[in-house]
Amino acid sequence: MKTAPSIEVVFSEGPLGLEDAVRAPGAGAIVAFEGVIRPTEEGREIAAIEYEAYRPMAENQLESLARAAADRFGLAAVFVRHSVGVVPVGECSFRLVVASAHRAPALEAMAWFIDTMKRDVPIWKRPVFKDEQERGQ
Amino acid sequence: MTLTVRLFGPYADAQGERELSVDLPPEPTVSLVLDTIGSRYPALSPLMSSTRLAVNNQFVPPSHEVREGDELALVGMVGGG
Repeated sequence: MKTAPSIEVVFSEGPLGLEDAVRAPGAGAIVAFEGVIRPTEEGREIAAIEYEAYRPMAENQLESLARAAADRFGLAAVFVRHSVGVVPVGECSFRLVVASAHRAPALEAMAWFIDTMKRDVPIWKRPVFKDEQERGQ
Repeated sequence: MTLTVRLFGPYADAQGERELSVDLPPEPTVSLVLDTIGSRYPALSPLMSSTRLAVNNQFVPPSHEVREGDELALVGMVGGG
């Protein structure tokens, strides 16, 4: 009998910290992606990105997406972490870890998940520009 | 009927409010709700071509009929990650 995939979706306030390594029974490949705040946006220096989520829907959509990815690519596990609130430059705001028996489906699943998330999951980001922040002080 | 529609991100920024109250005939379709918002709220109209209406935390087809008490939100132009 096929084992049900492990699915986990968690939102956290502010930057995401480091986590212990993920292990999934039967997996021979574990691929992790971290989204980190870049220092510029539209050519301007930023201090941070502020994330806003329509929480109940974003959680449902991410969980559905994780299950769809597990079905489509035969994954053993999908773990999703996303920040809400302010995340400074250089910090991690999004982490996706997928596990599968072999590396090819795990790598394909990564790109598919992130592209779909950017279209369908109600999370918005607003850059906190350095010059605006300094003018406000 | 009067519907309350929640606004987030660029929608809240454009309108300067977190929700809208929209008067409509009973049980309007999702298309009618979106068209009505686009025509009554000029600040939002430039965003409406890429906007979907979430009903009770889900995307539904344009022909779906909205009921009293449904939770509504404008969703589109997202970009998490």
